[in-house]
Amino acid sequence: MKIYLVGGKGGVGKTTIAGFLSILLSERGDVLLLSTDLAHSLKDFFSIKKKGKRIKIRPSLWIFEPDIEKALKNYIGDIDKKVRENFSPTIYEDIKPFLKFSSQDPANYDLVLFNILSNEIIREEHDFMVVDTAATAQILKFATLPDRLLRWYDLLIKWRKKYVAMREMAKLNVGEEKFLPILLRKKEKMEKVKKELAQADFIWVLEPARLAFDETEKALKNLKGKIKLSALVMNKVSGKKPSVFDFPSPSLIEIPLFESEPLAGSPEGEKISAELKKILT
Amino acid sequence: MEKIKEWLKGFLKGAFEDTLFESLEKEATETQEMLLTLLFLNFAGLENPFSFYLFELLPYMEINEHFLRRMLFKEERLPVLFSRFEGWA
Ligand SMILES: Nc1ncnc2c1ncn2[C@@H]1O[C@H](COP(=O)(O)OP(=O)(O)OP(=O)(O)O)[C@@H](O)[C@H]1O
Ligand SMILES: [Mg+2]
Repeated sequence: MKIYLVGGKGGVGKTTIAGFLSILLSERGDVLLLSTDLAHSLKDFFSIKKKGKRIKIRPSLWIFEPDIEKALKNYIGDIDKKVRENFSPTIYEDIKPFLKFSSQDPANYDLVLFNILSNEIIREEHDFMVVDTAATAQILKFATLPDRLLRWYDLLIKWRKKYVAMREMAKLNVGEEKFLPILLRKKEKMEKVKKELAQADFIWVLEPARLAFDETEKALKNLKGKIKLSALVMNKVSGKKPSVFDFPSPSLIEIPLFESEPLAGSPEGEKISAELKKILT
Repeated sequence: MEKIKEWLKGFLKGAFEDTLFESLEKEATETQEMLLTLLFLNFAGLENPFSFYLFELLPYMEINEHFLRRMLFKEERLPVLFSRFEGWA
């Protein structure tokens, strides 16, 4: 699966670019357009009223706007259920408040989103995945989590193997080892996610203003070495634009500022698609 | 005399093995407890995304009730931390 991550400051045109890119890609294969922004706006872009998280827009284009709060609750809810089944009521009662707290903690939103993203990568049901992201910090998280998680998995596997060996030597009578196989499976999955994300194309959208350039420079510095920047999209270009522009970019495209909103199916879309074609090899 | 020797050998071996088992068991438990602590790091106020992902492993761990109690509640820091968040329980 080929992944495109679309990022940039608020309101620069991430959703617009991600949307037209997906339409373009859907001529080449099956596309999933995933929104990792809490304030989803893909339906507005496609002018769709239909309810639902996962909607088929055309034969080879799907949009996915996950309900993040619910996804977090479900994720923790599953764990809660298993903990209740596997442990004594006293232990369950001790752990319960922690799980409940976690299920409502907004600090976990990006982590749940990364989980959703990972699941799509593992399922590999589509040829392309375009991600309409929220903020730079989020992309940084997505880009660095696989490596950091893998390091933890390795450590845990090491500890657990040691534990299992000691347990055997001490002839402790315990049942079949369930923990280690799960850890190993998780590691294997994360390795695939890491590999796919390392090959993802990152597209940065910005507006032609000095301030936005500084912002971009800072963001790209943070992301350097962690993610492959494949294109800069300068959006809403009108008349004069700042002359200073020295980003080491493989490709830079410019999109004019239109008088009306460039939504899916609008005539402005033709121009945007024509520009975007340049960054697709 | 031979019998006593045998007995003594058996006794020493047994005693040695017992301490060996005991220390192995202790180390095994400690390793396990380290894992558990890691799972609950988030709640000690340390932002740790791994605790979050490792929650999934929680149902498959062997949890010692006393250890859990000690870790979660004996030091009153955690409940105090929690009380700062509304509706945590
Ligand atoms: N080239 C353009 N010319 C005119 N209007 C544009 C252009 N590109 C985007 N817009 C409009 O600007 C607004 C913001 O665009 P968009 O929603 O794509 O940005 P965003 O980066 O996704 O915003 P957010 O951070 O809120 O998600 C929308 O109303 C969109 O139609
Ligand atoms: Mg948007």
